[in-house]
Amino acid sequence: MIRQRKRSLRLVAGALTLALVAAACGGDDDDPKEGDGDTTTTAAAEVPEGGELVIGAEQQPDCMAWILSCAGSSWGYWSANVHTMPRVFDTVKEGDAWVAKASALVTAEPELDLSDPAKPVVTYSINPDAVWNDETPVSCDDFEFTWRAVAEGDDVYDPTGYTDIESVDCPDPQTAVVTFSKVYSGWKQLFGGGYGIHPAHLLDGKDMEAEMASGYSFSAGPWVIESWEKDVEWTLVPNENYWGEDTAKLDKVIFRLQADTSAQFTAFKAGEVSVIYPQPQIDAVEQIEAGIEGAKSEYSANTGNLEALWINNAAFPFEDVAVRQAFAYSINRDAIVEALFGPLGVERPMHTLNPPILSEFADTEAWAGYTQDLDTVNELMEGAGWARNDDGFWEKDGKQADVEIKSTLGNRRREVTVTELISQLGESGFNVTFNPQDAGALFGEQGPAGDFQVALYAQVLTFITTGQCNLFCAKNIPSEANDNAGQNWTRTDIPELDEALEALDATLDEEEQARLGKQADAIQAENMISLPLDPLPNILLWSDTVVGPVSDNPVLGPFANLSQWGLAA
Amino acid sequence: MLAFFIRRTLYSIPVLLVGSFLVFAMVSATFDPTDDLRGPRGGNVDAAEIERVIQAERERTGTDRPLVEQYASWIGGAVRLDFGDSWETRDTVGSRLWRAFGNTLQLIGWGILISAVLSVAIGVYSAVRQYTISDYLLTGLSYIGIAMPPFWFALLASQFMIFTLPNLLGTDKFLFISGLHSPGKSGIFNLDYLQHLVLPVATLTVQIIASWSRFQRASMLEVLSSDYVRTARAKGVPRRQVLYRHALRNALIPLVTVMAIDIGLLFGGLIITEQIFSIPGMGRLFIGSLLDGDNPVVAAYVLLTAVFIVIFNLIADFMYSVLDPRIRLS
Repeated sequence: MIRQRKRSLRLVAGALTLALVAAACGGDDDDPKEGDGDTTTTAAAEVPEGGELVIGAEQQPDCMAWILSCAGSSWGYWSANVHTMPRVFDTVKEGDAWVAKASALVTAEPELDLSDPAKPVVTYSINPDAVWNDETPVSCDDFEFTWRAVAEGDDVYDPTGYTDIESVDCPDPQTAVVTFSKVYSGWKQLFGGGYGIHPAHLLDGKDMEAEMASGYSFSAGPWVIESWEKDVEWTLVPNENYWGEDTAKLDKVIFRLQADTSAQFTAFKAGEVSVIYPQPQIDAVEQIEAGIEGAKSEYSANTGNLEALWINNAAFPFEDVAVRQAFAYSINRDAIVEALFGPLGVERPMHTLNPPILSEFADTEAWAGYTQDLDTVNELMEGAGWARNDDGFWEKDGKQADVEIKSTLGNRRREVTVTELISQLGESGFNVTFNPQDAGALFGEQGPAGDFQVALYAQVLTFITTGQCNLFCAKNIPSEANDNAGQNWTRTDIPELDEALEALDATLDEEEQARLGKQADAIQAENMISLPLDPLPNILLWSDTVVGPVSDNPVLGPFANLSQWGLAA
Repeated sequence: MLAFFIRRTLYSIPVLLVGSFLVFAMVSATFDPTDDLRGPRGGNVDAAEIERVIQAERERTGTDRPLVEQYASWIGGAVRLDFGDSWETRDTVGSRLWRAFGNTLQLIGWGILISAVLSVAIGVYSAVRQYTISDYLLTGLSYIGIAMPPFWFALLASQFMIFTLPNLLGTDKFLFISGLHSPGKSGIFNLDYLQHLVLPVATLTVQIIASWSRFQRASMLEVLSSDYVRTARAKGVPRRQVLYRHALRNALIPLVTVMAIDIGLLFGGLIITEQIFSIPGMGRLFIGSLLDGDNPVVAAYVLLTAVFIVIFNLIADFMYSVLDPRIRLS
């Protein structure tokens, strides 16, 4: 399940956030960093009640019918879905790691029963206290309705997983027995994830788009959507019938649309909004570096994103592993990351193709050996039969090592990155050019068609679930055999890697998943199938008038615990 | 005159059709409504299911049909003011445009009113006091205003009015930078609205005033040097009466024409102002829809903007004949 900061994917092509998971990035990048202010939070018990909080939002939801294809916006999920739709699993921090834990919606941690491996079963015991705001209990009917709506709908954003469900049985209203037709390793993101559980008694037989697209009044979370003035603001008020412990303390939360980053910062400084969550673009980093009076901040790099130089392993000159390795040894990734995100305390590049929140399942040092080393570049290239031509570029069989890097249009940060890459790679004998593309063309056509040599973009993962076979197994190279729907755009074709990734997908044992994940990382690094580049921290800024445990959640978003926030008197 | 308007209107129809088709075709070629469903993703996704969803979305949006067929369907609805549904929000395009139009209209209304009054006053003053220090000063300021990018002015003005000036005066800030109202407030006859309006309207008007005042000055100078003004003065008509009854009325003719044309352009041209001040008007709707690849909204926006330009050009012609009875439209 993927949601998108849409403008970022189109103009900016996605946020990257890399894994400064403890080991990978050494140090405390996962901890809050100070901006001008501090990050002191207030214990929940001390948070005052009442008041209206205004949050600056860089996007609005396109629509609030969460399962429909119009609802892919991250901001919709963070600002409305998370606070109104019940879900089975929460994402919580345990030590340094973010993990999926059963929410209060269920009375026991659901587990996958593999007694019959051909038909795995999960039993959900629904909390009898859980009710919708009209006091109708959340029930098994809601699970069944949600399953059918997603699996059988015509206009669904992503039915993955729900189509693997064979049945949802209701032995009693508070028990849902879900039977799968095969093992689905991401089962924990079902009945939650980006959708939540939908109320059958209100939506069954109704047009989901008509009922929800412009907002809805039902909720089983701590908040209710009071209004949505499109293109302006949307407002949450406390759910008077909320059954959980963390009832909302604020009287009202208003998300005010402010698409322009500079305007967002100005409004924040002027006190018109009290919280902002800007994308880590260069201008935002510069603003933070300049200092903001009265602001607290958290820069978190432990997210589900990963930006990399994705290499087409089947395209000249990268079909030769020696060239790919030489390419990696040509680049000073430390310098690039330091230049882009140093002011946020992020100084080390990623060394795995797994996003930070999957660090438990990754070898976070797999690429650490790829540091800039021109002697090694020469050795590798000459060993592979390349020689420098009169222009100083590598040439073999009359073909020069010309490399075109594609990325998305309009992203200044990426332009800066590629400019630096052109300089570094030029010194080591690669003739590099930059060809920015419309995101739709890059991701919709050129990526699947393999019409690229190197592409710079971010992968975004929004649930803690392992598995990279869809990205790197040979069977998923787009082809007629898979209706050109495979996502292995890098054309990675390494039997040893296939074996590890397929085994990883087939197991539910987390220790085994971790072992296989690390093994896959090592194989990927050895073959230099792509080059993980830089971690991109999420930036959360809030006024010192906002109190409570304000912090970013890499899956549920920066407002996940909004009900515990308050405003200082 | 009626025949003139009918003929001009008929002439504009093929222009609008060709223009709207080009825009429709270019936006269709550039954007794909299924882009959001594609894109890089990690995790355990079922690529075949995603592809099925993408095909369903193509059918829903009609983009699985040939371009000409799509356009014919769209323009057929557009002539009935049914622009279809937004691909992104599922709202009707008409409702999105209408909301945005209302906000842009507020900016333009206030902006034009203030610009007209100030530019006429400055232009007349400069003309009457030609080659004095004040004329040179106003001329210099006009050139600065014309040359100054609106976004730059907006940022400077925001910084000064919201932070620097209140600090200097030791007061709370008295202007706002976001939107047309504070959260939860509405209406146009209240202080909150005024506080929100000042900066965007100033941004909108500074270049317009600079430009129009130059027109007004040049036009006024031309009229003041004409024979009938000299004659009126020679006959002893009071100076004020000569200026305001005889000269100004005729000197307004070129400015009114320019104003009418500029107003038409403004309906589609406030992108920067609306973006910086978070005003949900036509410009922001356009840029947002363009970035989202929301073809129905972009195409409708362009068609509507073109219609406004045609209408205000017609109004300019009409005003020209009204202000100068010697001119007859034919």
